[in-house]
Order: sequence, then C-alpha cells, then structure tokens
Amino acid sequence: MINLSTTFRLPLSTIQAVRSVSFSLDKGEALGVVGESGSGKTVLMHSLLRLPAQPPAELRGQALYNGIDLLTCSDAQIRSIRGNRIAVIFQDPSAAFNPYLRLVDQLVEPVMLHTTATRREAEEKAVQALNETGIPDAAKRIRAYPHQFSGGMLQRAMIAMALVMEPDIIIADEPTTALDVTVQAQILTIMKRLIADKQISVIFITHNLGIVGEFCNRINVMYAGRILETAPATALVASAAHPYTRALIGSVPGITDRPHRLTTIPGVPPDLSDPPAGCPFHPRCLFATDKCMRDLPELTEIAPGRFTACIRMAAGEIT
Amino acid sequence: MSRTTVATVHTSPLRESVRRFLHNRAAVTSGVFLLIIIIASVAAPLIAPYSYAEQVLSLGASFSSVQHPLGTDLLGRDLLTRLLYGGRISFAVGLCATFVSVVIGVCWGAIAGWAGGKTDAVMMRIVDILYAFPFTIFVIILMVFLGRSLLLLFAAIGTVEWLTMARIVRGQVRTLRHSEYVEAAVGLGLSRFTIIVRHILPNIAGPIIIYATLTVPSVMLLEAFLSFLGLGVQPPASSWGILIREGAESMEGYPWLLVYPGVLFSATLFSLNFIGDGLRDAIDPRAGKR
Repeated sequence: MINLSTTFRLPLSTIQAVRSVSFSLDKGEALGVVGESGSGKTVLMHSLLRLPAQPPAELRGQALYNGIDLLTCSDAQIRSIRGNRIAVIFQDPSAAFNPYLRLVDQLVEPVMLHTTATRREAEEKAVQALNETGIPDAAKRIRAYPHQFSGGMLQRAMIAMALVMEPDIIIADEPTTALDVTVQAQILTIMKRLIADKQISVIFITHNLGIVGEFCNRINVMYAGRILETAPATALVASAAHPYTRALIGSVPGITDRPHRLTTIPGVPPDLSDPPAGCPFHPRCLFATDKCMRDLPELTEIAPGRFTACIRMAAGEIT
Repeated sequence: MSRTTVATVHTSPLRESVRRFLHNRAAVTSGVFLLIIIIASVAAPLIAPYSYAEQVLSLGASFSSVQHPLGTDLLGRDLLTRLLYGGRISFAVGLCATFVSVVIGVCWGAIAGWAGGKTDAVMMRIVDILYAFPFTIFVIILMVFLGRSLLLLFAAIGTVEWLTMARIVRGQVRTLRHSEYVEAAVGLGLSRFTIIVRHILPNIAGPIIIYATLTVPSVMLLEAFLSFLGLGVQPPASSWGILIREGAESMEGYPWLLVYPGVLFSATLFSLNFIGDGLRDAIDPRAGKR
C-alpha cells in the first residue's frame, strides 16, 4: 500500500530521510514503527499526510489509501482525508493545542469541517469523544483552556480529537513520550480499548520497543531511513532476527523475560546526507563482513511473515 | 471538616489580560483621559461655545477670560473651540491611517510569513525598499502633485506606517507556522486561510494591538508635522498640528497660543503610549501564568 522515499534538498547537501520504505496496513491492524532518533520515522508520517516540512521535502513513490495516492492527490482531496479518514496524534499534547482557544473550539473543528453538523451537534460529538477517553466531567471541562489541563488529560483530549471523526487510520507519533510513566500506561490502555472498539488501524511511531511490543500486531524496525526488519510483534521481541533489532532489544530493560546485561550499540546513526554504501548498519554491526559493505540487503522472508534486510541472516550465516 | 470543592474558574486569556490592564494605574488614567478628549472632540459641534471659523477681529489675541476660557488667537477665534475641532481631525487621521496600516500590514506580513521561500523574500524586499524611501519627501511630493485632500493624507500616512506592522506580523507568523498546534491544524484538514485566521492571528493579536496603539500617536505626530509644514489640513479648518504651528509663529507675543495646544497634544501622545505599554504588559502571556 505504501512505497515511499522522502528527500530533503538543502543548499549544501541532499538528505535522504526515508529511502524506499514500503509496507502495508490492514484494517484494524496496529503497526509499530520503531527506530532511533533520526531514523526517519517522523518524516515518514509527515510525508504520508503531506504535512508541511521544513525544509520542503521531495516525495517520491506512492501511498495508496482506498485507491487514492496520498502523495499526488489534489490539496482539496488530501485536506478531506486529513483529520477525517486519517488522523494524527502528536507527541507533545501541550504544544499541539492552540493556547488561545478553548478545548471545545478545537475539538469541534474537524467535525464542523468534514461534516454538515451544526455547532451544537459538533459539540455533542466532541463531548462524547472526550467522555470515551475517560475525562471526568467532560461536558464542563471541555469549556476550559488547554493550560488548565495536565499533560495526560491533554493527551486524552488529543486522542478524542483524533477519534471524533472515527477515522480509518490513526498515526500516533510518539504519543506517550512527553508523559510520565504512570500516565503513559493509562494512555496506552485507553488507546488500545478505543482502537479495538472502533476497528481503527494504527501506525504507532516510537523509539520504545517495550511499548510497541505490547501495543502492536506488527513492527517495522527503521534505521537510517530504511526498514531493516518487519515481523509480528511477539515474534520480534521474542527472537529478533536482524543484528540491529537484537542490539536494540538488548539495550532496553525488561522486554524479554530473562534477565540480561544491558548492552549499548557502539557508534552513532549514519549521516543521511551521505549514507554508507551497502547495509546502512554495517559500520556498527558486530557481524559485518566485506559483503555487507558492498551490497544493499533487500527485505527477505526468513520465516512466515518475518522479513529481514540482512545478507548474512538470509544466507543462514547467523542464527 | 467538610469537603471543600475547588471551583474551577475558566478564566479566558482575554479576561486575564483585562484584569491585568485594569491594575495598571498609568494606563487606566491615560485611558480615562483619552476617552474624555475623544468624546469632547467628537461632540465638538454640540459643546463648543463658538464656531471654529468665527472671528472677532477687534478682540485679537486675548488671554483666558470668562467668555474664552483658553483665550483667542490672532484673528479672535476661540482657542478652546479650535482645539476641540482640531482634535476631531487629529484623531480621525490617527485612527484611519492606523486602520489602513493594520489591514495592509497584517495581510502582507501574514502572507509573506506563511508562504516563506521566494514569495517571502520578494515581499519583504519590497518592504525594505519602501523603508529606505525618504518618506517625508515622498508625502510632500504626493501632496504637491495630487492636491491637499484629507483623504490623500490618510492614504499617504497609512501606506508608510504599515511597513513595521508587516515585519512584526511576518516574524510572528513564521515562528508559529511550524508550531505543533498549527501542524495539528493542518493534520485536521483545515485550509490555509482558516488556519491563519483562526489559529495564527488570535495568537499574535497581542503584538498587533500593541503596535497599533503605538502607531496612532506616531501618525498624529506625522499629521501635525505635515500640517505644521502647511501640507496637511487647510485653514480655516484646524488640527492640532496647525494650532501648534500658528502658536509657534506668535510664540513671542502670545505664548499661550502655543502652550495650550502643545500641552494637550503631548498629553494625548503620552496617554496613547502609556496605553500601548499597558496593553503590552497585559497581553504578554509570559507576564501572566501566576
């Protein structure tokens, strides 16, 4: 369904932030996109909805949604999809609400825009959506301003705003990163329940493997603008194939059941204006060979539903 | 002990700002003073004791008396009356020109700031060029060639005063453009126009209002200056600028002809500036959030 490259052309360099990433998303599926900072996951999401980027991005490829190519359709068409069929949950709820407008004014916006509802009907819908996310006394609280809410409450409101049109797809860009840990768990539970209730597909972007492992059906691991591995979430966490994924899991406490020494991944992610030849991970990979430096590995199916972009894995040299 | 309910008071940023403004004594005093002046000026035909052109030549320039509280000018015209009528012109010029400059400046700045890139560069270079223009000469040439109509005066001042406004608005729009809530608004499917009008402009209303209040006195000063040069309002109509000029001409013999208009004008400018400052303090969100 999606095959995408995003390139930023700067005066001095060209940054290939997303390099022919392709994946598909089924109805009701929760897809995790995991990667370090700068691996291109947020750019990927922005590109999908053609959200404004700085500097302007150059998009190539296709992103088909119900037969419409999101990358090439008209502005009017993509506006009718944004917030209506595909909604976004942003990372920092306290920044994503306009401080000068009451919550109600912002929550009714998508409803008024995408339907013919009157203001009164839209408000009812907004209150109902807010109720569903578990905000107490929603009918009254909705008249407050964003700064009168806590981060967790605002993120609930954000979820309500994303859900108010009952979209087909929600793109959640690190929805819990700005929250503290106890609130994170609450938000995830709420999201999980609402998404299951309404059969909404989710693209869940995060750098936290622990969260997606529980939340998602499938996980894409991104590195340097490419997908290195895609697998069912449980299988990925239990037995990661790609050396990068293994290293990533090894560096997070408490994902696997057995106790282990936390490891770090030496080095830094590559400079995307000049990505390394061959496998993008080879400079940091413990298993790299000369072949890895030359050939760009393709995603290869190593087990049913499990794809990995590693030459040595595909050749059965690593297990 | 009984349970206490914490009342959630939903104070809007606006109400909060009003509260802060009302606590600023200088600003409130200025506001009251200004209000009185404006009302008196607007109501000049009703309350003025004489007609602004009525001459009593035998009287000449006389000092304050019971009949003429502020005295009369060289032609025996009542100074109080002429001040009231002059206020009408001065305020009309000030407000109209400010309005024109706000409209042009906000539109220009918002478009440039939102569009960015080449459009922005071209639009802002135009502003730079106009900035560099010797404005006084420009207005004088305009007046000389197109005649001395009051309308032209508004237009000339307005077209010059919008430049700073455009720069302020453009800068603000540029910073807000990449804020997350604007991005979120794009993500909701709102059109550019709606985003600018609903999400960006209210957020920069503060700087716009403040700068507008500060534009009013500068425009009034400009009008006074042009009238002083004899390019503005034509006699027998009066404006504060004209009265000050006439006063200055006869300063040696009849100083009150300069002092009364001068004091009134200065006080008005002071008030407008105090109000502008007060508004800035009241609106700035960093000042709030107690």
